[in-house]
Amino acid sequence: MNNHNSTVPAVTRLIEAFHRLPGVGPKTAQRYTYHLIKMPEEIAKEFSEAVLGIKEKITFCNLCSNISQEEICLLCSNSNRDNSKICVVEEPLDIVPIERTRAYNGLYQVLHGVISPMNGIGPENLKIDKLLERIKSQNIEEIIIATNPKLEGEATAMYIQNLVGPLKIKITRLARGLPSGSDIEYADDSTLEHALNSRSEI
Amino acid sequence: MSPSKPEIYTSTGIVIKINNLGEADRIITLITPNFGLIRGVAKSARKTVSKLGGHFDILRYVNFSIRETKSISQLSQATTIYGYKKIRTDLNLFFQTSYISEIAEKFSMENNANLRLFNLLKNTLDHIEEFGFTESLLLFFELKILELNGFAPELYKCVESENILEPGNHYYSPERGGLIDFKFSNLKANLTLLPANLNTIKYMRFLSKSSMEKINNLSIDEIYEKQASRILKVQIQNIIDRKLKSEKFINKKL
Repeated sequence: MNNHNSTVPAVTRLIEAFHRLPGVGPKTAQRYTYHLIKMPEEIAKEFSEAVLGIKEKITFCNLCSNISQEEICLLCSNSNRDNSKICVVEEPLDIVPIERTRAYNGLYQVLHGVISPMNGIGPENLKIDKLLERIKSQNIEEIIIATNPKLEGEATAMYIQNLVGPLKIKITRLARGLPSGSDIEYADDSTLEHALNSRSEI
Repeated sequence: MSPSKPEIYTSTGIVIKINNLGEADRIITLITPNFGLIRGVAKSARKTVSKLGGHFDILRYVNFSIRETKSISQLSQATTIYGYKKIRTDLNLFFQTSYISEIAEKFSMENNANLRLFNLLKNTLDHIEEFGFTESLLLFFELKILELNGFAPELYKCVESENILEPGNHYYSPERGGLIDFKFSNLKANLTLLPANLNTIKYMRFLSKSSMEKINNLSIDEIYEKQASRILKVQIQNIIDRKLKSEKFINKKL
């Protein structure tokens, strides 16, 4: 990057660092940097320590592959959670909205991606083997597949279903249908079809 | 060349790739009949109430609007024309069509209409949706996409001597783009020479002259099919100068 109107190398370096973040363009990176320059030193220090802390302290849970500060994450080590259920998600970030619902009290398995042939990502690149290990070693009764309802998420769900199916464990998929506040007029055929198939009596 | 584009226009296209952008947007890559490869942003497509997200998914044939901007174009008003349900619900078909889409993407150019390439892609997907996948269909697609882009393999003359080939076993050179007479085996030192059996050559010639409907019930010995497959895959790799990422998934039986 050469267009960062700054003759101060330290400023240019920070702008470039912010620009590497997803969704941060050169202008936003510049704004963040100049905001940090104006910040009191102790807050800026706290900010930089928080960034460093992410790399130094964060690891992946040995069981569910979620981000964690310990070998076993807080969710897996919580004895109040229902350890007979595993919800399979694509990314650690997907756990947050599910937890926010307070409707699920089981465990998770983070795949760290989905099967995506065009990006060269196959089942062997995901944490599916960890899921199988847990199914075989723990008393799991249900696998809830919560991959995104896109073609690649569906393909990953199908793959897991093929793999886990013979193990005689209940496999469920998050329901699909019309989201609250949406218009039927704009729904795609696949969503409408799922909504019709999963209709419920009122 | 493509017709000159107004600032806002509508088109049909097949979605072949999606990538997340920023907080809730997606970059959508489509192959269109009149404008070639199109890459555009579908704003907020990742949000659950998005009117676009459901339509802009891989392997959907859609109608959409596009607004040209100084940076990346913006996509809107998408509706699905056809969703390829059978392909979407079969893991093996998904892998096979991913490879087909990736080849089509590599041979497509932005702002460069290639109606015949679009039709080939769409007809192949339609055919798979209706009749299923066969190795012959994939080889037919590979051969036709090479032909459409001016890389038709030379299957009748020796590319070294330019003489008509006698019936028999010969070689195929991806660098030269055609068959090489068996007697030039000394060229192995400088060229990649793939074995091309007489039956493989006949099979490739038949595919080259054939139509999609005719290859439906085509039955050929697996040895020749594999040989033709290797020839075409190495040829494509040689032209695009890289190995296709989805190639390793084609024969994954799940």
